[in-house]
Amino acid sequence: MRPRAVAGNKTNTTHEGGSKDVDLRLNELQQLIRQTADDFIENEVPSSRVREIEASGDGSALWHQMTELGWPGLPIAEAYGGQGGALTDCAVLVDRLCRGAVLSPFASTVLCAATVQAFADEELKQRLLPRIVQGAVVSAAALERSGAVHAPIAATYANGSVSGEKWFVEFGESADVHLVLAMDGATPGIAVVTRDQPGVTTRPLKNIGAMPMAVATYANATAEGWIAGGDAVAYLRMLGAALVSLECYSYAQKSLDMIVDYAQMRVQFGRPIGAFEAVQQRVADMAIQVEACKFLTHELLWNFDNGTLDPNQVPVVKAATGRMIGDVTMWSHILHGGIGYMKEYDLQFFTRRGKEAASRWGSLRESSNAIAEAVLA
Amino acid sequence: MAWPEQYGGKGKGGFFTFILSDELQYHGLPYDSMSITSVGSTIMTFGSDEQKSEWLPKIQAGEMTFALGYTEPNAGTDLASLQTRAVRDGDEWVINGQKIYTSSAHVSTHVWLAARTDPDAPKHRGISTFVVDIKTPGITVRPLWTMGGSRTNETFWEDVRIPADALVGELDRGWYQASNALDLERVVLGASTSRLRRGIEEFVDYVKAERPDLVDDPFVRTSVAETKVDVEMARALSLTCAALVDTGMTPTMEGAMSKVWSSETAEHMYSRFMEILGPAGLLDRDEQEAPLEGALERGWLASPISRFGGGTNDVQRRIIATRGLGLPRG
Ligand SMILES: Cc1cc2nc3c(=O)[nH]c(=O)nc-3n(C[C@H](O)[C@H](O)[C@H](O)COP(=O)(O)OP(=O)(O)OC[C@H]3O[C@@H](n4cnc5c(N)ncnc54)[C@H](O)[C@@H]3O)c2cc1C
Repeated sequence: MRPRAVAGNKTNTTHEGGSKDVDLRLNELQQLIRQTADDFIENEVPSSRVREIEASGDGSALWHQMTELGWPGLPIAEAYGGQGGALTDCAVLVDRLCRGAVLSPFASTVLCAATVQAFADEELKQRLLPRIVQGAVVSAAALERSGAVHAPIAATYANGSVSGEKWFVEFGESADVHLVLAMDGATPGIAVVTRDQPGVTTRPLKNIGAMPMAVATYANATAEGWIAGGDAVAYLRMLGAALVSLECYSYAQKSLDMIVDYAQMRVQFGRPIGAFEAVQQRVADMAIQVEACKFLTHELLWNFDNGTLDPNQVPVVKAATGRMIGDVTMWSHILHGGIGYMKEYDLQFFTRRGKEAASRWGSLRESSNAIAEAVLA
Repeated sequence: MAWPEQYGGKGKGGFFTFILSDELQYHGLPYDSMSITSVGSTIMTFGSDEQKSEWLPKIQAGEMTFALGYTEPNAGTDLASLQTRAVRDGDEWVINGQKIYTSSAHVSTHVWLAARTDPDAPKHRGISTFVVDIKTPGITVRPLWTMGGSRTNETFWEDVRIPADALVGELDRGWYQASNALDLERVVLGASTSRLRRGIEEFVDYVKAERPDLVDDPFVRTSVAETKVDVEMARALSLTCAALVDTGMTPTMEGAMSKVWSSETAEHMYSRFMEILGPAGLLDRDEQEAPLEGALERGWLASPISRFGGGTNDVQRRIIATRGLGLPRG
């Protein structure tokens, strides 16, 4: 891997709309997380295993290994058995997993654990969070058939049970617990539903990124908890968008790194293709977008951690990363030439994963309209 | 078809080819345009009378189909550095080497092969082109699977013996003949505008029927309008090529323009439509819920091929700037 110029990226980066003190350098804990993740991926999740998991759709053994490393506990406070990491700490792990094309419920775990931690009552936290630390997979069942994040919630919650149907539920078939967005009369909220019960049925939904997804149907399914209120729902949606924006950045970064490496090795006309101006200009254009998205995604999570989140920034970051990822991965293909298009070559993982991530938790259509709504208000 | 009647054509011009291939594509029917336009036309220009009378009617009838054997592992954009050798031995040529991305070699009857016949000459001057029966002993075809799910191949050539008259055109002039075929290939690659037009229509029909909530969405309206403009420009460039072919010219710059624009428009179109539909637009083609039977996912994943196939778009841009507009070559 080429050296990345992060040194000199001092603190106190102020900008319009202002997150002060955003620091892209990794602290000691984050460096450790990164090293552990890279070692683990190198030894345990080579691309052959990524392919196996993708083909079988079964990543449970891998998740078990990740649980043994304590990863599901990273976003969870020590009081519940976790390690009390910040979202920016979790981000380091999400980033490395994406770069390894690893399909795992880690990001989903961060999203759900953080939401529960921030909004559930103490009793529910005591019951749920230690289970997550132990490796229970939790997934947000947040979308209607249209896939639009802000479509009216159709599922209902009453007397401790949930009815309705959710689409695009990540790891919905294997997740132990679903966090189901539902309406209790006029109040939106999140029902905590154990999947393994007669009232819950799931079926898989195959997609371009091979992200395990499901349609889940709840027929008077028992809910073991209810997190009431629009704030919790809004937080879940915004954090979902923030994390998946980070995924887009990571896939793009990897795709860029791959072409930077390849362009130095591949020789045509007696020179590395990276020496041709046309190639350099494309790579530079890719890098510009990737660099901007790196800061935007990090800044957004940092603001979550510090209680300084501007909700209007969420669709901006989502749109920036969603627009960038397709462009960057496609250019990486074009610059690789034929080899990059072969299934045997790993580039395709990042292209497919990235495209899927670009639409998760808000399509470019939704984000653009939300930005316009906020800006032109 | 667009060939003179003596070879089984109907004496129509390039414009007719365009309209025909366009119409057939629009209706989703196969049209083996690469064999006919690219290889067939090159044989018609450079082949001997015997070759023309033997092969052209078969090509016309679809009995003879071609895989294109240009690219090698170390000779992609720099095609002229290809190493596959053809050595004359009595009445035969003996071929040794390796080709890669020899698409449709597993379903074609022949390979249109570029091989080096004079290793001592400057690299552009020692290449010849051959028509090789795929069943000739010594050819091994191995599959390579692509991200889009389609198959291409590696082909290995070991002491493959072909008759002397498999050589098309002049010895060692193959580069110039291949360039002509590639110029024509780009016309074909660029002529896919009906697929694009059809893409818009199907998407619009889908939205109207299944997602009426999106019809008044400003993002959707702008995206569809922009796509429409892009596709009309692609059609115009493609027709410009066809008109030039009609007058007997090889539309080198215009073919490059058409290919660059239409291939990039395809990617933008699928991307925009996916961005409109969100996660539903990304469902796999095998998924019964997938809108338009997964055409968006499929189209987007297939879109890189035409951006680097037939000469990458950046190289096409150079052709436009230098051969077309007369800017100096760097
Ligand atoms: C699905 C598929 C089907 C194909 N079918 C066929 C087929 O049937 N027959 C056949 O012969 N070939 C076929 N090809 C090969 C295709 O034509 C080549 O991939 C293409 O010519 C590029 O060559 P390459 O892959 O070696 O890339 P490279 O030549 O290695 O190019 C890599 C990158 O470098 C850039 N580059 C190279 N040189 C320069 C330069 N001087 N200036 C600026 N940029 C430069 C290119 O633009 C490209 O972006 C197919 C390829 C694919 C993927």
